[in-house]
Order: sequence, then structure tokens, then C-alpha cells
Amino acid sequence: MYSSRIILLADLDCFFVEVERLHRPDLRSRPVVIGGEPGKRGVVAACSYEARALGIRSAMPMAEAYRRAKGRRDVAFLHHGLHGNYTLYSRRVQDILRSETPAFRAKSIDEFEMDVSGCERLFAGRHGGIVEFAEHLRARVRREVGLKVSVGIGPSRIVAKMASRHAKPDGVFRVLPHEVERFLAPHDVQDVPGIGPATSTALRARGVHTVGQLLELPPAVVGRGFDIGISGLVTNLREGDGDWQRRREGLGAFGTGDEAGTLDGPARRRSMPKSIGHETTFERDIIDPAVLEQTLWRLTEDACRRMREQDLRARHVTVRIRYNDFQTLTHGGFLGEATDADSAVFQRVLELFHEAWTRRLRIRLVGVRLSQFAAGASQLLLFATPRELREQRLCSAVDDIRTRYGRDGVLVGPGVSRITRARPVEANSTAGIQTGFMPMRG
Amino acid sequence: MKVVINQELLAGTLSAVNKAVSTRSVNPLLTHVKFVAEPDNLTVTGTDGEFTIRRNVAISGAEPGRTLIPAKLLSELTSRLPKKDITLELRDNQLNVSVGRSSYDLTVMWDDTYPDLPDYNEHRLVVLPCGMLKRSLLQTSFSAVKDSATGAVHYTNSVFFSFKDNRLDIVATDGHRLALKRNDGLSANDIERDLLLPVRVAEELERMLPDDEEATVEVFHYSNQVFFKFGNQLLVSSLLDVKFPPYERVIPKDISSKVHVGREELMDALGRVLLVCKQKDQNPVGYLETQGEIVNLTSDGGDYGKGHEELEAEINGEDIKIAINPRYLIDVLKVLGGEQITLNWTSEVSPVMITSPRDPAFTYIVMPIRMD
Repeated sequence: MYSSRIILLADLDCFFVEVERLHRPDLRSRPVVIGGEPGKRGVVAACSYEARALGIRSAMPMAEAYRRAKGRRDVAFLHHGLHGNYTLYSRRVQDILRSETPAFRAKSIDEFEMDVSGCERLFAGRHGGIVEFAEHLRARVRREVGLKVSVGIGPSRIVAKMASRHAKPDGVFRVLPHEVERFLAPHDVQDVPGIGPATSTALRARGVHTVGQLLELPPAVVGRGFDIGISGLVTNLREGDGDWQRRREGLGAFGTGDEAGTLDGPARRRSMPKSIGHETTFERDIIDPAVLEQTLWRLTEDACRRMREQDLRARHVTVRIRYNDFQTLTHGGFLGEATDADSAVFQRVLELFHEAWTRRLRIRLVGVRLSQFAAGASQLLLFATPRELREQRLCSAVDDIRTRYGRDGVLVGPGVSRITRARPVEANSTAGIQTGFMPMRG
Repeated sequence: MKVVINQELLAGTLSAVNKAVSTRSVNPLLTHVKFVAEPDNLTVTGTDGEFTIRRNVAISGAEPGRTLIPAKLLSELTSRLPKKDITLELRDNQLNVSVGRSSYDLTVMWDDTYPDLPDYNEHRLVVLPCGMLKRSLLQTSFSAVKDSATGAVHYTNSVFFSFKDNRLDIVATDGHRLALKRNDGLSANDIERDLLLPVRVAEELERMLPDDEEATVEVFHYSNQVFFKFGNQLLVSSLLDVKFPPYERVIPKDISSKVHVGREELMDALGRVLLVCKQKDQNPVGYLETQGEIVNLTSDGGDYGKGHEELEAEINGEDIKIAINPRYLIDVLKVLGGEQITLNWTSEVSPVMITSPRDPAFTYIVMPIRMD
């Protein structure tokens, strides 16, 4: 049964485009495409609704976007956005939302979750109801920041997220607890945050195409054969999720990590992954060691965070390099002792990277992958040194901050300097948890 | 060099010595065994550079000589030869191996750079009963981390020998659990020495040592090597140059509860609940909880189901509750004798100590799993 939780998912409409438009009124009501230059393997980072009407989509190669916009002189292509300003605008929206709600969490730069369970009477008195409250939030953001925001409302985080898609553009969509089943049933399984291509292919192979069909499966059958936690996901769809403020360990633990926080139902059961890794392709091939090292730090941090979420410690780490002539090599090494600490892993990553980078060539892609897991922090240690304990506390504090304020809520050590320069093109970065079920990424 | 030796004796010698021979090595010499023949003695040595096994075999009427023979080839050939006397004869760079109508010429060589052992005889540390050392190793080495093919040297890949105050502590740990065997009353003259033996060497030593209570093993320590000499065998190992943590500090002192329970009963029950643990291959969790005179042992395997076992016990102190890796307990119950064991409990987040009334010199400590 769905409880009486009320989750709001606020999603800024065409966030990057709208921020650009605030600075350049001439872009209003024109198709706008933001991304890298077509000659430099750029992809579309964001595009306006007008551009979408031309068939342009996010993550599409820029060259393809240019082709589709051919003959349209009003299409604006932006290759260098207002990088720093995006975070600034996001913060201003966050400040408003945080001040209005009891529990707030930034899922990404343009997506925010709020738990307003128990506030029904308060909002009814003040605004007239939950939907009216959402409209109030939207109006405030519009008035004070100048951005459009859509709000999905549902009794669980997944439902709220799916409802927010119906709220777009610039609207509110609410799914009441008794409507959930009817709301979910017609959706394709791949519409569910947390079901990626691999899982949906496996589901389709069993004749499960819609969420309705998925929910009709007997609970005991669902878990078998999907050791990546599909049963937890289904339980979540069926019954709603727990209190996410108290379930930090569940955040972002499912699937590729990009769906951070979509799955924290009470019944998460997963087998141990074989490896956890992150990699990124640079916008331009890089030879500056400082930039490469900084990128490796970010990748290490992300991989370690996901490892900690699953209460694991890694014994082995692999660094992956692709030169600009597409020669790709991996170089792995042991960590001495199983660890989940960013700094210990990063130290080894650096050693491995410098051992592996032998050709004087620019680098196109770097990746970090952790494997050979052992029991994590909950298996207590006999000989924890004060340094290890301190490091453990630091990592968990950083994890907490990032859970609430997003990836850039706090920067640590090597991630601080020149952060904007090294920031990889998000659309090109890939992340994947490898489980026994999914094939190894080539 | 010409030696006549019984097939079974040679096969046994080679299989023992081969434990130290490296199969893959950058130095091709190390894939060979060294034969040194004297009129009434044959010495066979295998080494990987860090770990050496040498065995002396009594023979008669040999022609002296020495050579390096490909270890794997000779061992496989010998094991397939008939159980008769084998003649090994060195002719130039060929070793002729013949029995009856079988005759093989193996290409052998000699090289002075094959690692030799230093003269260690003056550096005797202590003489120990073989049986005592064998038992001590059996009861401790399982606690170390075995897959040390990692290159990284760490104390969790070792078995620690600490000589102090006329006693020898043998200790091993993987960071989560620790086994300690204390051997008192050593007839050593106030030696104080810390030796870290790689775990694979410790395990090999345990297998090679005779079970005999009468037999003794001489232990030498010279430079960074330790030598164990017993019977006609010698085992030599480089020592690990790392620091073992202060293990005595983690032995719990303020025990708030003692649970006496049947050893085999507990071991069997743990084996069963382990089947229905989540992540049973990696991080299984079992829950132990006492209630009056009963120990409740449970596990939750999520999709697999649940397990519950009740064991009768004698409990002195408050009721206990703990989450623990069942495998860590099974491991120690296997190497402990006696009918009863004692779980010494302090708190949910403190180490649990397992002791046996029959074996007071042995202590085993496990860290629990944090319960949320």
C-alpha cells in the first residue's frame, strides 16, 4: 500500500537554454541548441522545445543537429555557454525550494526533490492545497529567478519523477495514491527511472513491455533472474518507497548511478557487483597532466562514493586510457588492503595512470574501475588507525553533503583547482555498475 | 654425476621440493631444481628466490656431481616411470634418466648464479617440538589473507612469529579477525625477535611438518631469512619487511558475558544458516542472540528465505546480541578441538573472543558487523 507520503519533483524546463535566454533576450522563442562544436565530437548538451520540434535531441552529435536545422536561419547554436552561471542559477532556485519545504534534496543541477508529507493541512490553509502550493513554488521561481519549472507530485519518488514528465512544459501534474496503478500501467518499462536498456531488453524477452504487465507478475517471480534488484524496484512501484532522509545508503545505488536516488525502497536486494567504474571522454583531447589527474580524481570520487553506498571495499583498481589514435589500454593493480577511501584509491590510480601513459600522445578518454570487492565499512576493523577513521568520517560527511546538495555541493582536494576546465562533457560521460547480469562494457 | 634412486623416493622428493619452484619466472634458472650428489647423499633444492625447500636423500655409491634440471619435466617424467630404481647420469649437458628399457636424455645446465643459501648454522634461534609448531600454524594461518599474488606486501598476508619472554606467539589476521596461539615455556635464552612469514610459506610448512610429538624443528634466523630444519628437510623463507599491528591491544579485557556452547552443534548450525544469507559468497551476516539458556542463530537471505536455529547454551552474564560473518566462526570451530567453546562478548561493536576450555593457549577474535 502506498503511504501518505507526498513527494514533489521539480524539474527546471530546458534549464541551460533558459539561463542563456535570461542573458540574451534575442534567443527567446527561437530554437536554441547548446553543445560542443560539430568538428570536435561535440554533442547536444541541451536544446529548447523549439529545437526539439526540429527533431533535435539531447546527446545527439552536434553535426547531426546542424543537419536537421539546415535551412532554418533562426536556429541559434551556442558552443560556449555561461558555465559558471548555471550553478549560480541552480543555487538560487534551490534556496527558494529549500526555504519552502521541510525536506529538500538536489538530484542534479536542474532537478530537485522535496518531501512534504504531513504538510497537507498547512498548505491547504496557506495555499489551498498541494497543487496550489506547487503553483506557488513555480510562481516564486519564475518571479525571483526568471526560470520555468515543472512539478510532478506523487506518493513515491519514482512516481513523482514520472509525473514530472507529464507536467512539462511549465506545469504541474499530480498522481494521487489511488491513481498510481492506473497512471503507471500504460508506461513502457523503460520509462521507469532505474530500468535501463539492459533490464528492459531482458524484460521484453519475457514478454513484459509495460509497467502494468510488470506489476502483474507475482512478486516471487520478479526477483528471479534479475540480480540487479528489480524486485526492489517492483516493490517500490507497488508500495512506494521508504523515508529517503533516513535511507542515505540507498541513494543512487541502482543501475548506472545517473538515476541517483530513484530506488530506495525498503526491499532493495542486490548481489555484489563485479566492478564499479566511471569513465569520461574529453571534449578535446588532453595532454596536460594536471587536467588529466583532476579528471581522474573526480572519477575516483564518483566510483568510491558508489562503492560506499553499497557498503563495499575494493581490493583492485583499473585505469583505462584511450589515446587520440583510439589505442585503448587498461592497467590495473591491487590496493594493498581493501579500501573505500577516496585518497587511498586515488593514490593508486595516479601510480597506475603514470605507468600506463607511456606514449607522448593526447588522451581522449580516461576511466577508473574498482573491482574485487570485500565487505565494507559495516564489517568492523580490528586495527583501524586514527587516520583511517578520520578519512572514513570525511568521506561519509562529503557523501552526506552531496546527497543533499548535489555533486558540486562540496569539492575535495584535487577537485578544487581549475574545476571548470577539467569538467568533462556530461553528455559524453558514461557510468555503469557491472553486475553478474549485465555484459562487460567493451 | 651418477645416482641410483628408488622411483617412489625420487617422486616424493621432487613433489615436496617443487612446492617452492616457480612455474613462471623471469629468471629461467628458478624453474629448475638443483641436484648435488655426494657419495652417500643427494641434496635436492627448489626455490623461487624467496622461498626455498631443500631435501636430503640418503643414497649409496653415487658419483659426485651437480646439475640444474627442469623441475616440472623431471617431476612429470619420474611420476610416470615404473616403481623401480632409476638411474640418473650426467653426460655433458644431458641428464640420462633410465629405468629398465626406458631411457630419456634431458637437457640440463649448470649456472653459478642459481641462488644459494647462506651459512646459517650459527644463527639458531630455538628448537621447537614439530607437533606444537604444526598445530599452532594450523590454528592460525587460516586467518590470514591467502591470495597474496597481489604483489603488495601487507601484514594480512603473513603469519607472525613473536618471540618474547621465553614464549612464542604465533598470530595471523585479515584485519577483521585474528587467531593467536601462545606457546609458553620456551627453552630459548631470552630471545626477542619478530618474524613475519608469508602465509603461503606458513601453510606449506604446516603441511610438511610431521605430526610426531617427539620430533623437533630447529629454527634459525639470519639476515632477512628464516630457516626451519627438521628431519631431512629444510625450509627457508624471506621475511616480510612490514610491521605487524599491536595484536595484544585488541584482545578484549572486560568481558560482560560468556556463552558456553557445543562446538560441533554451533558449527553445523552456522553452516546451515550460511546457506540462506544475503551475499553468502562475500559478506554473509548471521545474527546471534541469547535468551535465557538459548542461543538464537538467525539469518535473512532476502529473496532466498530465512534461517533460524536454537542452541542450548550456558550463559554467564547479560544477554548478548551480535551480527557476525558466520564463516569467520566456522573457520575457527574447525580447527578447535573439544566439545565446548566459549563466546566472550563485550558489546555489539566490540570484538568477540572465542576460546576453548581444552586449549587455553588459543585465542580467536572476530570483529562484528555493525547493525543499523
